Amino acid sequence: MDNPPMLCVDQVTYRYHVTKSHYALSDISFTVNAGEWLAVIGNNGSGKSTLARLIVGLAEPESGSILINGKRLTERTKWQLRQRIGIVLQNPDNQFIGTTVQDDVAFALENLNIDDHEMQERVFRALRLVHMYELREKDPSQLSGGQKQRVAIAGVLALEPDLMIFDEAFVMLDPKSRRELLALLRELQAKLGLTIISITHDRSEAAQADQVIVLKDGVLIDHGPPAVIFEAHPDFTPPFAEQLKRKLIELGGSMPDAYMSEKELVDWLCR
Amino acid sequence: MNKLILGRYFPGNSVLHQLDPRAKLMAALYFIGLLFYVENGQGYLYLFIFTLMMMRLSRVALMTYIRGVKPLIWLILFATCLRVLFTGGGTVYFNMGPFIISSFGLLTGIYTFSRFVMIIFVSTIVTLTTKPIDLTDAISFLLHPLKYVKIPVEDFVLMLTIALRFIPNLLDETQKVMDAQRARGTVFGEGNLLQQMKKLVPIILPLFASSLNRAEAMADVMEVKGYQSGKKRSSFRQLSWSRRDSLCLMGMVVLTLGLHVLNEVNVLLLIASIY
Ligand SMILES: Nc1ncnc2c1ncn2[C@@H]1O[C@H](COP(=O)(O)OP(=O)(O)OP(=O)(O)O)[C@@H](O)[C@H]1O
Ligand SMILES: [Mg+2]
Repeated sequence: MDNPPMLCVDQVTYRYHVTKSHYALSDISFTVNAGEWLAVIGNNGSGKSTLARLIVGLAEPESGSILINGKRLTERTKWQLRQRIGIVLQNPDNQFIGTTVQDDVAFALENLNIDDHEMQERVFRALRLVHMYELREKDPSQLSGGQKQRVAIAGVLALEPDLMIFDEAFVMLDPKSRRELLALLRELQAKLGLTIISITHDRSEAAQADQVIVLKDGVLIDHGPPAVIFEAHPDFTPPFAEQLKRKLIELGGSMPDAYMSEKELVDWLCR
Repeated sequence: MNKLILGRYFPGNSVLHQLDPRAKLMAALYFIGLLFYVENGQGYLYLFIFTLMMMRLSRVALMTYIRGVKPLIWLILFATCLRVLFTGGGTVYFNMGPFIISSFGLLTGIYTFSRFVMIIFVSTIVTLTTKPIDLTDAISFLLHPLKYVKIPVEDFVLMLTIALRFIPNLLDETQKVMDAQRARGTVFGEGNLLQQMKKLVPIILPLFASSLNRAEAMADVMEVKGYQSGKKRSSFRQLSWSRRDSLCLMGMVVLTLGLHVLNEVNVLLLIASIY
């Protein structure tokens, strides 16, 4: 047990505007050991995405520190530390860099200067895992939201990092694929000792985790195994659109199976 | 928007589609250079026949090429007229102030016209038979030497790739914003020029804002995926040079020799006619 934890967040505080008194995160501390799965839950605007941005070094904490594998994340070390981290950000639209599906999945590998034979193998393997192999030549304008999310997930799978971060990365997937992918991640976690941080509103996704942290207005209000957290926070609710959809189904409406954003739901209801 | 042919890709599997984009781009640029080396009518005819043959080889309908020239026809005619009106020599048919219409001028006009048309045809052949992404790879290859004078070619090429990838998004978004403005009662394409331009402001501003947001988000993604300017990176897309690509370049050499002969023949005829 001499290994340092995979991630150690120590008294981190952050605000978007130094002139304002509103803190997006205040005094957050927690650790994640290698091979562990951490779920982050909390309402909209509670600071979950902000936390993810800090962990990959897209923003620097105002105070406190973040250690990855025992090394402190700074402006200088971030490039090196990032090589072991893969992240899927919240918005799948702006995450597509490549011209086609396969180019996009390869992008991070190209940056690591991996040779083309190995790269192709890894890209194709990852695309098969998310069932996007047949669509590998498509460009993003021909893809649905869920398909773009799959591509982003494939990008992380192909990278084979030690730490994977998913910021609501499965919300647009249909329930079956979501279950499949979560099972796959579970398997990889066990087999390769992968560390996973998943930000989610989905109870069943959070239930897979080894530990759960709850954020509220930028403060970490609870931390523990899923069963305990669910007990303590029965009000832990899915996003509004999902709630509404479930309510409608309860009332006997027939709704598409896939997850919909608020806007999509409105579009669907207005039809 | 749908009318623009130049710059579009038509999927297919003709010989030209299968050529390496580097070979195609080099050959096309070379051909355009060659157009300025022609000295006489038969030279133009010779190159024109070659262009037509290439158009046939692309297996894209002739009409498509003609539609490609159409949006530019006024520009071409304007340039042609200038050449005609300001070139003297030979028999003079008409003369007023600086304007001259002469036999020599008319001939020059025809040459200018066909040169323009051939340039457009040849560039259209390249873009119709090459995926934009392959074309950027070819451009990247041709610009490669610039790296030795410390010009960031890779950044430039990535920029080009991302720009290409965003054209459909941008068109899409334009459509959305226009629809939103229509829903608010704006009628496009009406009123005088000033009024029409005013109507564009509420379209361009949201587009600008959303593009900036997007650019920022994408820069973040590129950063977390480890893209660093100037760092050595490998490439997923591999171009492969095959024999037919070498043949294509050989073809250009043969074409040049043919043109050279035609140029010489004409000089010989001229000398012969003097004596
Ligand atoms: N770019 C920004 N500039 C200023 N404030 C921001 C910015 N992004 C987020 N915030 C603020 O920071 C707080 C936390 O936002 P964050 O995006 O981390 O929430 P979240 O928990 O991810 O929410 P969601 O569930 O909706 O994704 C919010 O109050 C938000 O208004
Ligand atoms: Mg978020």
